[in-house]
This record gives sequence, C-alpha cells and structure tokens, in this order.
Amino acid sequence: MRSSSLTTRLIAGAGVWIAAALLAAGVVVSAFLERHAEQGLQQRLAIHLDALVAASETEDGTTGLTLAPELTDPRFERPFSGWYWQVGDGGDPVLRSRSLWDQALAIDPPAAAGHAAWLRLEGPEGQRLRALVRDLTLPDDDRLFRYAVAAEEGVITAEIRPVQRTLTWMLAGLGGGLLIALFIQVRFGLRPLWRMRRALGEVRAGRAERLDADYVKELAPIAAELNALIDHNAAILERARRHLGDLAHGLKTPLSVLRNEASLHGEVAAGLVAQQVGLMTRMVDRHLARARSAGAGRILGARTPVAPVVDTLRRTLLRIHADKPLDFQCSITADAVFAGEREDLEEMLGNLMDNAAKWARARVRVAVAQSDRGLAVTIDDDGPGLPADRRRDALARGTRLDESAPGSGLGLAIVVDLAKLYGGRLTLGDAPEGGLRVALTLPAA
Amino acid sequence: MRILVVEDDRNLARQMAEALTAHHYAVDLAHDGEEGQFLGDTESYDAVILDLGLPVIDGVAVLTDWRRNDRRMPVLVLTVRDRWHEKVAAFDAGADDYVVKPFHLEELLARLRALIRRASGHTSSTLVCGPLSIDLGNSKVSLDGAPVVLTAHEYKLLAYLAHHRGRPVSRSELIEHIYSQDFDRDSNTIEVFVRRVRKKIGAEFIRTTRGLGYQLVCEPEPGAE
Repeated sequence: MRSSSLTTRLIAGAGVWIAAALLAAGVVVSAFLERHAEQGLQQRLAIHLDALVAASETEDGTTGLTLAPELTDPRFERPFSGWYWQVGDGGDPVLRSRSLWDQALAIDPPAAAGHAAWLRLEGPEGQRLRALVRDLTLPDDDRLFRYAVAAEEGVITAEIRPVQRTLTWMLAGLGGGLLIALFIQVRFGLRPLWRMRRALGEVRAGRAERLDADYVKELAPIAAELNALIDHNAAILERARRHLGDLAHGLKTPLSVLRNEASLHGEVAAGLVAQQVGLMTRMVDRHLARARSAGAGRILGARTPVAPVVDTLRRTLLRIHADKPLDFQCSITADAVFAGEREDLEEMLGNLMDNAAKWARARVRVAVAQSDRGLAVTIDDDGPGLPADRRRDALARGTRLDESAPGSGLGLAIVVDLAKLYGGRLTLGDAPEGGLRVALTLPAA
Repeated sequence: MRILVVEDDRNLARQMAEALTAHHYAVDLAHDGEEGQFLGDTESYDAVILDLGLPVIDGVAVLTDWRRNDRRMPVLVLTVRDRWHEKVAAFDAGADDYVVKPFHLEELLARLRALIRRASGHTSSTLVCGPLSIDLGNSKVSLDGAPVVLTAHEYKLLAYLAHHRGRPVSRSELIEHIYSQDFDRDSNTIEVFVRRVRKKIGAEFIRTTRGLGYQLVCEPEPGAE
C-alpha cells in the first residue's frame, strides 16, 4: 500500500488512536487490579496481626512475652516461606515466627503509635516484603511492643498475573477486531470513489458519455464538475470540428474555380488567381482568429484594465497612420476593467480603432465608460461613415466593404466573434461629426 | 535608395528583391536574424524590410538591438504575426510600419516609398524641386512637364539627391546608397552619373561643394554649377 493512499491515511490515523486507548485501558485496569490485590493482602495481614496481639501475654515481673497458643497458620512455620511475624520490645525482637529462623526483620519506626503502618521491608534471603507494623502496649504492662506481620510481594503478583494475562489477550483481541472493522469500513466508505474511477475509465474508453448522477453527497459535486468538464471538452471538440469543416468547405470552392479554369483554358488569368487566393487567405485568417479565441472566454476571473490597452494601441496606431495628421483622443474612466484576457481586448479595440483611423479624415474619438451593466466603448471617426442599409452587411462575417483598404471587413468579423464569445455586442451608428460610430458593449467585470 | 531585406523564406526574398530592383532600389538580402543584424549595424540603408519570425535571432530582438545602437533607418516589419499585441510589440521595439503576410507587392512598395519619404521629411509621393518633378511612385522624372529619360543608376542618384536636397551629399554616401553590397563600387562612376544627369536636366541643378559633395538646387541661378 502506498504511503500516500487514502486507505493508509485513514487506517493509520484511526489505528494510532485505537492502540493508545487500548494501552491506556490496559495500564489503568492493571493498576487497579494490583491495588485491589494489595488491599486484600493488607486485610489478611491485619487479621494475623490482631490474632498475634490477642495471643500475647505478659508475665508480671519478667521481661518476657509469651504467646498463649501459637499462631497455627503453617505458612509461618516453614522457614523462609515468605510469611513472617515478629514482636519486638521497642526495636529489639522478642518473639518471631519460625519461618524467620535465625533472622530478624529490620523495622524502621512506624509513623505514629497506635496506628498500623503499611511498609516495604527487606526480608531474609533478599525477599521483598510488605509488612503491617503496629506499636502498642499490652494491658497491665507499660512497655511498648512492636508487632509486625509480613508477606512477600510475590503473593500480590502471583494473584494478579493470571488476570493480567487474560486482560492483555482480551485487549489485543479487541484491538485486532477494531482494526479489521476499520479496514472494512474504509473500504466500504471509499467504494464510491473506486466506482467513480471505473466510471471515468468507461468515459475515456468511450463506453459511456458521462458519469451517473447518483453519487454520495460528498462526491456528487465532483461528479457534476467532471461532467461539466467532459461537456466543455466535447463542446470545444465540436466547435473545432465545425471550424475545420467550414474552412475545408470554404477553401474547396476557390480551389475548384482555379482547377476548372486551368483545365478549361490551359492557363489561369492572373487576376482570377489573385482574387481566389485573396478569398482563401481571408478564410484562413478568420478561422485562425476564431480558433485562437475559442474557449478564451472561459478563463474565469481574468481582469484587464482598459486604459493601458487603449493608450498602447493609440501610440501604435499613430505610428501606423503616420502619413495622416490624426487628432486621436481617448477619454476613459480610470476604473474601467474588462472581464477577460488582455489579448482579446487588444484584438477587439485594435481592429476597431484601426478601422476608425483608416477611414477618418482627421479626427478619432475613443470613449470608454464603466457602469454596473458593463463596459461601453464608443469609437467615432469623421470619415465617410456607412449608410444604414449597409451596416448589417458590414457586421456579417468576412464581408469586405472596401477592397482597397485590406482587412477592414475581416477585422469587424473578428471583433463580432470575440464580442459574442464574451457575451457582448457590436453596433454601428452615426458619429456626431458625420463619420461612423462603432459601439462595443461588454458585460461587467 | 538602398534597401535591406531580412527574410528567411528564400522564394519570397527573391520575389521582393526582383520587385525592388525593378523599382530602382539597390537591395541587400539577409536570410537570418544574425546576418540581418550585422548588415543593419555595419551598412547604411535607406530602409529595412524585416521579417519577425527569423532563424537564429528573432526579428523583434534584431530591431531592438539596432535601436539600442542608435541605428535609425526606417524599418518596415513584414510578418505573419497579425495579432494586435504582436503589432504593439514590434512598434514598441522601434518599427515604423507593419505589413501582415500574405501581402500585395504593390502595397508593400507603396508603404516602403511612403516610409522613405517620411523619413526624409517629405509628405508627397512626388518630389517637386523648382521645374523638376520626381514621381517616386513610377520612377518618372519630368522637367517643366516634359519627361526626362534616365537610366536606373541615374534615377537612383537623382532621387537620393532629391530626398536629401537640403544638404550636400558626399560621394561615398552616394555610393553606399546607390549600390547594393555586392556591387563592384568605383567612386569615379559617381562622377560619370552626375555628369550624365547634369546633361539631361541642366548642369545648374546639381551644385558641387568642394570637399562636401553634391547638392540638388531647386531655384538655380542660370549658368551656375
């Protein structure tokens, strides 16, 4: 499994938590058990201590202490059994269990007289002991005796070890079960993703057109986006195919004219060649322009300030039309912004301003205004203008109004195509100074 | 008028060279950006026709470099790049005119003529100098309305003097602008051409300034030389 896989991330993430929780549970339960066992031992030792105290008798006038009937528990009889008792007069042992044999328990003074103290002691042969120690005076005697009953720590451990072992196995089993459940859950949870992958594979292989709509809530938007992308691709492909078809059809006509002319007369008149080649050139230009702009309007969030574009174009156009003393003025609201690519704006304004400069006698006026509804560009010239009945033709694709001014018809067609792509429109009218007014409106940024 | 054509398509370059030669221009050809840049830097031209999509060095870079080196000859850019941002880039690099391929040779020649005329400060396509009239469009010269028949080299000489009639033009400058690079240049031929032109239009129109060169004079005093 790759380290970057979603499954690994989910399982590793949950696995760490499960392991931590189980470990904590194990530690807590184990500590609790140990404490419980220790308390049990303490209680048993307390009973022994009480029995020891109850059996103690002092003889008047002697320093001795006797135990009426000896404690009967055999564990206190067997030497070094781990169970011991001892009675001391102050610090010195007076009586002790047989199990201690010739050893004595070294006992630090307990904290307070009258109360039993629970201590850790070192016993014979290095045994680690737990001891209940109590200092008390017997009736009719004013000496302070120190009673101690001890048992080896191993008693506690021996008591809890089987329980601990069972606990460990149970927790491990629980952890394993949780991991398996987790794995199954992740596989189940991610199944729609694998389904989507298979479905995309089907689309790519051409066996399906788009993705189904019934995806889980989290994946449905992704499926919708993918479908939109697939549709967009299909639309682009369709448009490209249509353009290519248009271009091929368009070129076939002039080509057949030339071929027929050649086969009929054996040679082709230069004028005809020039005319047909001109036709083909215009067609190539137009389709190239359309292909370049195809899809450009899809770029979201592109914003182009208008003023620098107009300034640059004005500077360039003054050099292109350097033969003419042009009075070329632009008024632009400073915040005018075009919602699209800079190159497309340059293409539209460049063609329109170039046309105006070409036809103008002396004056060109460019006005750009920004409003809530969008961008309004008005370009006026003082040229011959265009009669109302020919304006429609001028905007129609590829129509050339005047053959002597190359590119004018094509330029307008490109602008119309681009404007349409951005959801804008182009209209022709009369300029106040007598020439043509071109108005381009584009949607707001 | 001497023209540099930088164009990597050899067929197109040849076509242009033929057309330009037919219109009495001296033509040098370069087929890549490096060669074009070198010629533009070292030779003296009245105008350059520059393609942009050139091998080795791009046309815009060539143009930028010329302008940085203070080479001020008018440059007409001839290219397939027809988008406005490309036009703007060429003009910003220092182009003086821009023709998009495919083009009509007549249009190119007319634009070139206008460019050279503008560069020397003239506004009409017919240079008028007193009774002398030189039609740059069809390379015809007339004196008091009567046509004067000149050979190609004689016309080139007269046209160059007419473009720069405000000042004397040295013999070496005439050589540079009348012949193309690979022509065997002999400064004595200039004197021969001057003598022949003087014979055809009247000696008083071309004044010799010793040490400086020749100057076209529009209102000559009769008998002056």
